[in-house]
Amino acid sequence: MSRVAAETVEQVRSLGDRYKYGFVTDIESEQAPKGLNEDIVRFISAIKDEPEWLLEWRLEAFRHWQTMTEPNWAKLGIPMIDYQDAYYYSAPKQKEGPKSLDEVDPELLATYDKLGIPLREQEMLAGVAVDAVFDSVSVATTFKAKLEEHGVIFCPISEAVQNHPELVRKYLGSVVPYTDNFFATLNSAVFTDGSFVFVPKGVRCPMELSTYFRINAANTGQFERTLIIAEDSSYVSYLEGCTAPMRDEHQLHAAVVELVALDDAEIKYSTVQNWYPGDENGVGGIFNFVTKRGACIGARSKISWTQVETGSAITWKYPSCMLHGADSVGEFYSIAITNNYQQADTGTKMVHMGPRSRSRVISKGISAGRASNAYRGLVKMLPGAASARNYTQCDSLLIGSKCGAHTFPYIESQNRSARVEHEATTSKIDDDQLFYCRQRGIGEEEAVALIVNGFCREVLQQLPMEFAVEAQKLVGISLEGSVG
Amino acid sequence: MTPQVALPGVEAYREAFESIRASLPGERGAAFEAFAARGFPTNRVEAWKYTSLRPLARQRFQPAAPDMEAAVPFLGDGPRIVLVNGFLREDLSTVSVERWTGPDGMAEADGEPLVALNAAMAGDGYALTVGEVRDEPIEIVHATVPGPAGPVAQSRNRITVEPGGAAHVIERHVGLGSGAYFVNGVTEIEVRDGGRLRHTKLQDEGADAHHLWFVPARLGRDAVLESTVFTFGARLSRNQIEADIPGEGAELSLRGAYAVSGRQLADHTSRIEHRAPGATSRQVYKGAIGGQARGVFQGHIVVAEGAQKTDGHQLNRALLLSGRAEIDAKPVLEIYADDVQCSHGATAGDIDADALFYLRSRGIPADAARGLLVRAFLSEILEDTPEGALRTAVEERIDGFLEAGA
Repeated sequence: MSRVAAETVEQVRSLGDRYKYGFVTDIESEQAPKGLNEDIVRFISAIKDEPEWLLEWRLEAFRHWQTMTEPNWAKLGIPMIDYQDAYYYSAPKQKEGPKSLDEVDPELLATYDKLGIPLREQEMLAGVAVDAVFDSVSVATTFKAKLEEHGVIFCPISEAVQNHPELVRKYLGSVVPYTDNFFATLNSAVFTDGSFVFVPKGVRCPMELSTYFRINAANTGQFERTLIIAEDSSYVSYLEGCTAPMRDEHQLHAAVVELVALDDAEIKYSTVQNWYPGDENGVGGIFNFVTKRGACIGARSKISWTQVETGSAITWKYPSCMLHGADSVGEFYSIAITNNYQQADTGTKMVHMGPRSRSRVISKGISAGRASNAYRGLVKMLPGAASARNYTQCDSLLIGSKCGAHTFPYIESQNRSARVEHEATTSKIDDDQLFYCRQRGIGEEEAVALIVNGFCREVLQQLPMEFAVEAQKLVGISLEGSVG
Repeated sequence: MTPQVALPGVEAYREAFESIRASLPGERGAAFEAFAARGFPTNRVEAWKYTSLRPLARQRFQPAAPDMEAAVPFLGDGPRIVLVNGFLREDLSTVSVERWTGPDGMAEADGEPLVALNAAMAGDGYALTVGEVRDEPIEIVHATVPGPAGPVAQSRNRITVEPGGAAHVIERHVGLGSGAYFVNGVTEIEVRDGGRLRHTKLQDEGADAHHLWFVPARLGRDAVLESTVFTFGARLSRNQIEADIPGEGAELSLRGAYAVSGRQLADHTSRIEHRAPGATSRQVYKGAIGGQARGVFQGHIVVAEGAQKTDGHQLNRALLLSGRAEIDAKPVLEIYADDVQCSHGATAGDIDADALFYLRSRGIPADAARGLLVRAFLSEILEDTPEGALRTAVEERIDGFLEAGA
């Protein structure tokens, strides 16, 4: 039995008969009992051997969460979620503590292969370090040694808590405080794992950092917490990709991502999200309630978000930039595709505080079937944002007469020298373009995929190479069955 | 809805309502309760996110009484309808119109709380029906006389254009003298199949006025409504148009220009609901904001399922002329039909530095150059207003705004 599993059992014993139903250890996972209370929070903290301050922080978050109600302002129909009817901790089965990939459970590796995440190939060919998260516990981290050479720390956040507590303590919750919003607060109380990245002064991270998240065990909410810190004049590009297998029960996912960019630092954060969206009748699928926020604290710092959102039954996600620094830059490039009964309410917030800060928002929403797709964004120019600049463009494409595409931009300017420009359009696939493709023998579905890819091009080209290829395929796959 | 202990404004208005209840036509209790259940909206209500009515809700106002002495200024000698303190003054009017006679019509009390308040307390108003083509513009003056008790004038009006009818109606809102008052009015507009209406509103209330006006509009098949609003006055004003387009091929144009300074707040809120295929809507709102003033624009286009071939466009531009001016804009598209062309655009910022430099390089002093550019910016909304008293009045107000050094 692995160390984690042994610990789990020990924990149960030490907590006595409060957990009279015990743990479901039957198949693949170690799980904490269903439900959420202070004991579960303590349990998660204890199993991770966390310092006292972090437990306190979690408990404060949990107590605050109990006073909050779920947000209902988004254009989403969210079914009642019973937060007591979920497991808040589950660890994948590990036969031994893996020292190399060979020691990792071959069943896990096989699943990764199915998902198209060839760890070994990536290690050898792509030069991408993969910190694969499988149901909340990182099982393999590659290229660690090489990154360490450069002084880059890239590890599971629970490891960072042990090895770099001063950094975690300084920055955890500094961008998204535990009081921030219902889902972020919940995450603060029960987050189980996630990634931690620290790029020291002047270092250009030698490779793209990549994590694949995957939800596996039924009824396991995933509460990832990612923290990326880029010190002065450093650069890091971080890729996050997600897939999930078919299942019927809704799953809750409430992740928090915090980015901190100091003077002249740049963070590029790319996401391809392709979780199970539910079947064509809207049954099942993931609930994706994510809080992503970056703080451009330093002068001339830059944070760039790129996202391709094709999965999940419900997406509630607003990657944001707090532009504190003078001349800081925030970017948001997004493609959100909804089909069948999927719902997405996604966008960004660009809050300009620093003089001459700039931001650019390009959002492409594609809605098909009976889906609902909303862009919701805020551009705010505070009095200090002298000569700041924003450009926003959000385009929506509708495929079929039963879907909806919505745009909810909020523009607030308190500085005369700041310039804000916003454009939005909504239309359908151009018949002429479709005709042109069809006439040249391209099938209708393929033609739609082609046209939609063209519609999204501005965003797709922001993605790192490995992702761009995958994302283009995804765009086509997501729209299968939407025409004809 | 969670019950609140003390809803803003409710008790004061209950007292006022009870004092005039007996004199009002129709049964008003339900409408008042609809208001009382919600009170003045707070910033937590999404539709009132940017416009705070808190100071207004705290102020005490007495229901305005008809004032027979008031001297009302007119734009011209054309046909006119005059209301003073929300009461129709047939003696000053030259167009014979019906009086509004009690709750009915489109502005249902269950929508906005302030419309419910109006439905509860409105004592009078005009009902203009246009059955033929009228060449001469009809001037409608809503004058309010401030008083020590702070009068609240609430009128309920209605313009109906029958099939084949066409008219230009100018609604002017003026304050007679200085002092605080509160205007909470409704003008319902219905343009039936094939009718045409040009509706121009010139809001020039007193400096301490609060002006909330709600315009529910409905357009029939191939109906045309062009509504333009010029906002200059009032401490706080909100012009809210909710246009319902159940008619195929209807054309709606909403335009607005505003120039505010000091501590003014000018709110332009619109909601257009396309429910039939092939209708068109155009919106252009432009504002010049100086001092510590705030501009608010909320535009909402809804294209319902089945409203194919809808063509809806919306543009909002704001010039911030001072370091403490603020603009908040929320242009929303909500679309449930695929074969549509919809867009919105919004910009905010100072006067274009290049344009200013161009003028200055040709020897035009900075102030004059800025004035020229602000005038040019706002004049787009004036473009289709013919030469005449209305245009002159608007131009004078823009000049006044610039001279005051906004």
